Amino acid sequence: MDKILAKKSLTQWLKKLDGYDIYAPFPQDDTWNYDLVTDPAKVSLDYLNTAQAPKKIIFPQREVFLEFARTEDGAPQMTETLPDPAPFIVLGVRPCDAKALTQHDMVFAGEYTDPYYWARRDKSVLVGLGCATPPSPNCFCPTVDGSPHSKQGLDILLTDMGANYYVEALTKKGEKLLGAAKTLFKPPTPKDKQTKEKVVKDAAKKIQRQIKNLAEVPPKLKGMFESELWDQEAMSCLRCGICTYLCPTCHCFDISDEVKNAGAVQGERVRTWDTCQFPDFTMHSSGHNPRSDKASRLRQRIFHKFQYFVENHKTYQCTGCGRCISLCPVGIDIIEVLNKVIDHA
Amino acid sequence: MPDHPYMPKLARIVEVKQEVEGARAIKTFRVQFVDDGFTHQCGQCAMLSVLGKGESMISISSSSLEKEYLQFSIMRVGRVTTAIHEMQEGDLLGVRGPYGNQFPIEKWKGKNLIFIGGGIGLAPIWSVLQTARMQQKNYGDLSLFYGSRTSSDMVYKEELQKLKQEMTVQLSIDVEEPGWDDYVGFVPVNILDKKPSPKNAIAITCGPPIMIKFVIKNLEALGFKDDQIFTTVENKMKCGIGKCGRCNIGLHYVCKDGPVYSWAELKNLPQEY
Amino acid sequence: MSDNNKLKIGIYELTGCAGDALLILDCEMELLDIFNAVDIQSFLMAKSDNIDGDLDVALVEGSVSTEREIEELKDIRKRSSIVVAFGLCATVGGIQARFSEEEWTQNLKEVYGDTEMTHTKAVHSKPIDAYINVDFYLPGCPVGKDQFLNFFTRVVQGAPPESYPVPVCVTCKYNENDCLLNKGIPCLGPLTADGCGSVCPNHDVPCYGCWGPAEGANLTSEYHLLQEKGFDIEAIKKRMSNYSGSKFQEFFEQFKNKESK
Repeated sequence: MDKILAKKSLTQWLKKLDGYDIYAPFPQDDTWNYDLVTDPAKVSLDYLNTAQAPKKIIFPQREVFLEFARTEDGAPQMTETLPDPAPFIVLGVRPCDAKALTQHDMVFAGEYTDPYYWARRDKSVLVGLGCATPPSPNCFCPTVDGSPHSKQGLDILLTDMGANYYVEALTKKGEKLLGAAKTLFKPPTPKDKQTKEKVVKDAAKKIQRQIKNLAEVPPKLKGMFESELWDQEAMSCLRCGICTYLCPTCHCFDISDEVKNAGAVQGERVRTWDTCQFPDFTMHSSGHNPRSDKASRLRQRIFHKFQYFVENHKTYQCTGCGRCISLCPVGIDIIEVLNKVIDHA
Repeated sequence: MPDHPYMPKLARIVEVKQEVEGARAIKTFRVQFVDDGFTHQCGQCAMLSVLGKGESMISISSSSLEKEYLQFSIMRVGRVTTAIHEMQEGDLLGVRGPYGNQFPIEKWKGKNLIFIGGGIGLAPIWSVLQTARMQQKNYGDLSLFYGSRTSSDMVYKEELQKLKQEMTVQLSIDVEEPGWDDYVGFVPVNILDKKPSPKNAIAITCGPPIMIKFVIKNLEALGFKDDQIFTTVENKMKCGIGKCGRCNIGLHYVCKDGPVYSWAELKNLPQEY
Repeated sequence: MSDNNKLKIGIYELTGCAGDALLILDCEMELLDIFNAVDIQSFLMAKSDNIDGDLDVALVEGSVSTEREIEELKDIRKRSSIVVAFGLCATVGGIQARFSEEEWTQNLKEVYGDTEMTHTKAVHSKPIDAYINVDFYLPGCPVGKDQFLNFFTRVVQGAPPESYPVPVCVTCKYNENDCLLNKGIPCLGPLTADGCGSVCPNHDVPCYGCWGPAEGANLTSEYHLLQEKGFDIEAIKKRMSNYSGSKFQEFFEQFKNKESK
């Protein structure tokens, strides 16, 4: 279903969306971050991209799996704490972040379904905002099989046409949102359609960065496990973990028990984000550590994204958002690393 | 209890046996499910849960034919295993599983099976050894090579003595000890010494990473092909279902695609374990 | 009023500001629970009936700065099953340990001149692990309330305490802060152990490193990065050595050698 929505009608539309929690990007310091909307009048989609990917709304930094307590006679009691959120809308999702969520969907389904992830994911409605101009000088989504107006993972795609948005409802959930404020949405004219095609076409040309021949990388990497390239690239790594915390596709997590008091055992088993970039990620209790040095951990990150994930799920575990490049304090650039892999003998 | 992958089922400890004392203590626990539980295949593991301390992935060392209980032999190395070691008969433990793949024991009918274990590494292959022994007529000759640092570090000491009457058992310890009549030296060297034949044979090995490495090397030197050698690997695990991303060797998650590998498969994975 | 089943705890202060011991008393809501859960045998700041006998856990605050303290420390080690380095001064030596031996000797002369100490002799300030084996380190200047309570809960449960082998950056990212280093502000987050909740970056103040060095910190990289951002070498060295006690001395030694060439 294609419609046109005037930008100045955005607030009115949001006001009509009863029964949904809405998350939108809000300015914070020098950048933007997703937050719950309390006043629809304050929402503006005039932004580049958020520092933290919207994955944190569906796959939170910390969530409780179960609460436990040990009763008097010592029998442990466990209470599952499955989330039951109200349906929620994430507004203004960039296509790279939405595509990343489809990769999370692959990881959390499969042989075992992760009930905590899906309890939230099933209630989510993603309203995407296409990128008429690249939000970052380090964007490279076309190289990794994406595009500034990709529809993957989205329920609605908004294309910025100046005074209006070209609205495409891609799923039933998306159509339902349009139905809540029918009068605000007009059918597109042939001229509208033309303008939209032009915006989409121009947008793809504006992306500055690319990896030369990404298809060469997965087979090339197989032979480069022992290469000195990893030591060289990891030398300046400060071990801050930014690359994995801000990455929209990273999904590694930890499960631990947090005990609340010193008397009878009472507490929570929680899941928290984790990162492969620190030594204790793979450290055995015995002290043995398969990835004890930085080079092997950098190698794991590159291999996981551009070789292992490709073999397991047939897609690169990277959607070209450019956050890791822009925000690494010492400038370790994943595009440069991959170009070096391609150039490697 | 809802049946989803992260919820442990409750199991009662029905028997505790101290196998090894001291700093590297090992205890064997037999558990029975309180309500409904699960059955397993040889080679699979389960996540044992001590509420308040955490979880630990342990191989199920009882045979898949054993329906009365699940057996776990656990070395005390960290927070969770220490808490388990403090538990007694009657205490409740959380168990979830079974996880991982299994030894392809069906394909080994008629073959000679050579079990090679080191230290606590005998536990993960004990399940398949017991199964083979209980169905002896399906298989060829069964033999066991087992070694540890000292004689007091051995697991299943009583069971080993009984096994000696059923199959060839080659025991070894690393350093001389008064009263020790069997081989003195490392397990891989004992193999070169006794020269088991690769003809119609499958070797199944587990132990410290360095022992596995040299056992495989020496088996190849004796003429074993890489699809005749099987092992089970371990890595730090948290979710047990291939989602948390930490136990991978290359594109495989050890908890889900492993832990059982033939050398033919394992040598094609990055040697990072 | 000692219960035989409770863990025997002792809290000791060597040379420091006593801020870490005070932090325990600052846990006002939990104070009764703390004193009920264990048997605190010795805590000079809080009680007058102190027994200095065998202990299960000894928390030692402060650096070793006099000969008498060396003896006291060794005695604590002998009669305690577990010794915890409590606070920055005990873990890395604190601010007083940031000087090399020569600098320290000079400082001592400047401050005290020829005055002789009668009851003991001053020694070059060092963290407590320079003299004894330490079982666990709780860094912080002062230690963090949450971190201390987590540690205490674990000890009472009989489980090894949580370790924090990651830098401040991890918590800083959880708290959704913009990276100050990327803005050209000299933040020592990547070099500093986590546990404080990234309190300073949460308020746009760069990390000063008061939790002491993180394991495996990449000093060379941070040093070069700060230089690239335009900071003066002396200023960088000063900032990096403020809270790192004796632990970064080796790193600075290599500069002395390079500069003298």
